[in-house]
Amino acid sequence: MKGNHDHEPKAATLSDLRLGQTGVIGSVNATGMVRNRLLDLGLLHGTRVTAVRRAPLGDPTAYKVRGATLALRHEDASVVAVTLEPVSDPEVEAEQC
Amino acid sequence: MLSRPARRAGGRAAMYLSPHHCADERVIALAGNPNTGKSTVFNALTGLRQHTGNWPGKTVDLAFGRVDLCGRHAVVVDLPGGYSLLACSEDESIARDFLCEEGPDATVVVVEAGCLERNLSLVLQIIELTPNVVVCVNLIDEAKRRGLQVDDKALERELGVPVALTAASRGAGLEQLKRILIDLIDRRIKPEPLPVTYPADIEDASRELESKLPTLPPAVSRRYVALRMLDTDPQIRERIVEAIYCRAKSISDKVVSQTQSSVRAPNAPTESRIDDVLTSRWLGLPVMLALLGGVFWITLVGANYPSALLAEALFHMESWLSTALWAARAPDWLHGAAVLGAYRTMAWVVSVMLPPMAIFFPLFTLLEDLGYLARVSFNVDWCLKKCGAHGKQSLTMAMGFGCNAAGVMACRIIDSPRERLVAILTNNFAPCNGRFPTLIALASLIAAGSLPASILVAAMVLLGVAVTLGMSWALSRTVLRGVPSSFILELPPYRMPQVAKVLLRSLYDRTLLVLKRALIVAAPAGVVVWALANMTTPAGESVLASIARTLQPAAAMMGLDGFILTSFILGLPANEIVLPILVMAYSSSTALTETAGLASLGRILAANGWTWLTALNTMIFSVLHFPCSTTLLTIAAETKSARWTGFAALMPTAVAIAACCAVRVTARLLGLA
Repeated sequence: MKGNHDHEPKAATLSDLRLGQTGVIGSVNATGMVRNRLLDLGLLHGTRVTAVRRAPLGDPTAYKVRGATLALRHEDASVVAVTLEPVSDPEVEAEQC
Repeated sequence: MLSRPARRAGGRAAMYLSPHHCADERVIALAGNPNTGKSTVFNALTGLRQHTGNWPGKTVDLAFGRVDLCGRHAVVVDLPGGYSLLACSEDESIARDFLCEEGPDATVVVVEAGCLERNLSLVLQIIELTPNVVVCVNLIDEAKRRGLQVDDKALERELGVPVALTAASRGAGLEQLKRILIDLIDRRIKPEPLPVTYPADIEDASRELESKLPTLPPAVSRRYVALRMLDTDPQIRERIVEAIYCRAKSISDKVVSQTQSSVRAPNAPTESRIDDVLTSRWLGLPVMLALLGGVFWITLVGANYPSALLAEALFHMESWLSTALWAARAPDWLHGAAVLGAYRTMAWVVSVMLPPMAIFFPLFTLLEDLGYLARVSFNVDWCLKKCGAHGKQSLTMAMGFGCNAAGVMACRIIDSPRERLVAILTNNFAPCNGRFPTLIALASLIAAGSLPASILVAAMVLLGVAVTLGMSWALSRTVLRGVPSSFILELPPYRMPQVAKVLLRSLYDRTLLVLKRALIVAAPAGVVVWALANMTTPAGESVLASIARTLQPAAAMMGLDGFILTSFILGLPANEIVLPILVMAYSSSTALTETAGLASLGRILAANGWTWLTALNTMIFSVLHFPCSTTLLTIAAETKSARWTGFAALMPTAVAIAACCAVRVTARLLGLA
């Protein structure tokens, strides 16, 4: 699996989030069903998303979004562009929902 | 765009309602996100034992029940759980179509108190569609433990519809919900919902479109139709969803408050610590396997005693029946068909099959209600992805462990047709409840002690999983070529299951189910087998023996014998009758009279030349062979294709034959048998 591991804010996607790191969604760069599904679950412009855990085999990753925990595969997470926030204190999680 | 699915669903909904519903009866729809305890609310309202599950997309079809509202009855329709009415997957469009077409008298939207914002987005979409809505804020006890409080009056003001706070598993708040429902149905309260206001350009376009729409059925909101026509444009759709979530967030911010005492959300760290173990890199998979083995161990140990007890009681009864029939001077053929055929097969099904089912099923349900199955999905998803399968296939597989027909039907939760077909065709490799007892009985014959036996059963399940993955991989690279489509799995919070309720309900449900199937499937099959064993061919042997002799060469190659193969074929109507039929076939050909419980099973099989290899191959064949007739019919209904149904029968059979031959040859080469 080739992951883009340099954390340059502009090119970052959800799949670049390290565990515990929070990002703010910029845009969902997908079409059709994938896009609609992600939007319906509340992954919208400006939404804060925190990566919380990774599956034993390295994929998928679970994210905290609007109070719910959603697991996304690497391929799906990489269509969601985010602005990374610096690795934050645990208060961030408490603030969400 | 809208007319096509709507028309189809109209037909379906009407079809669904007809047997349950008289014209003057009121209809209450139950909607909500997955994991909100919707099915618990349904059960609490109706008293019906519909199975509830703590995993996404459990209800893929409409379940019905009746609720007693102060002496008046109404039909409650449990709609599939979904996140949105903007219709993505088939189950979500079922929910939308029902609300649009049936125009229920009242709609209960169940939302999770601890995750109000996301849930409110669905509420806001539903109140756009129908005004007679009551919002049921469920799981308030769980939210309270996390230090969250929901202000129901403020929520009512924000939404313009009545709100009830409930903790359905404990029955709290249900009376209030029922009172609101009565008022809604009698039109004593007329909610005036406050739906989302969209950006001005969208509102203008929607109004203009509304005025140009043709006449619609009365239940359908013109504004809703206009908006759905507009949101086929991705840009507009995104802005509509943004407006909905923006409103949802602002409402949630107003009505949810953190109580002083537990600002730090006390159980969140506990939960995350549990997940740190259950989904951890090193422990996640071992713990999963250990739990699987543990479940089988409990089933094996627990089933022995009741099985022996049931066998003794039922075979006692058999001798009474025989005595009674002889006393009544019944002809021999009647005694044979009724007692040695029908009754004895039923007795075997009940005594050997019922106890493991009655133990395994509740254990599985407890893990599911706890929320663990979603973690299993999370843990193994990588493998599914590598095999070109959809992530939800782990859920349909899990359903398959209960019943493959249900598993095949559950494949509707998979949006992509290719992956849905992969999931349907491979579902049979998840050994169902009808096959577990066979596996368990045979495992305890080969392996000495309950621990090795449970490991053997777990290995058989893993074989089924491995073949599922392998065949999904092969299908994805040949006849069903493609890459996996997107997939999102929600990990629900862990919830303490209602242990006593689950145990009692499962015991009751399983017992009824097994008894029913014993009556309608096992008994007739028993008569057929008895007839085959007692009718003779011109050559003087029984028809059964002659079939078995014909199959013998093929069976021998697979390390089985002709009778075993015959039993699998005669057992097509239901997997749980394979072993009973086999015992019948053996006893009728060798005139064995001893028939009681697991212990005698070993003696009967050994007397017919079984070795450990025969038992092992029978287990393998049981896991991999063709689906039962119910499952095949379901596959035919779901795929609407005779070719795929044929493939679903032949492909597993070929795999089973290949696997058994391979095991036999390997054992030979290694000098083990």
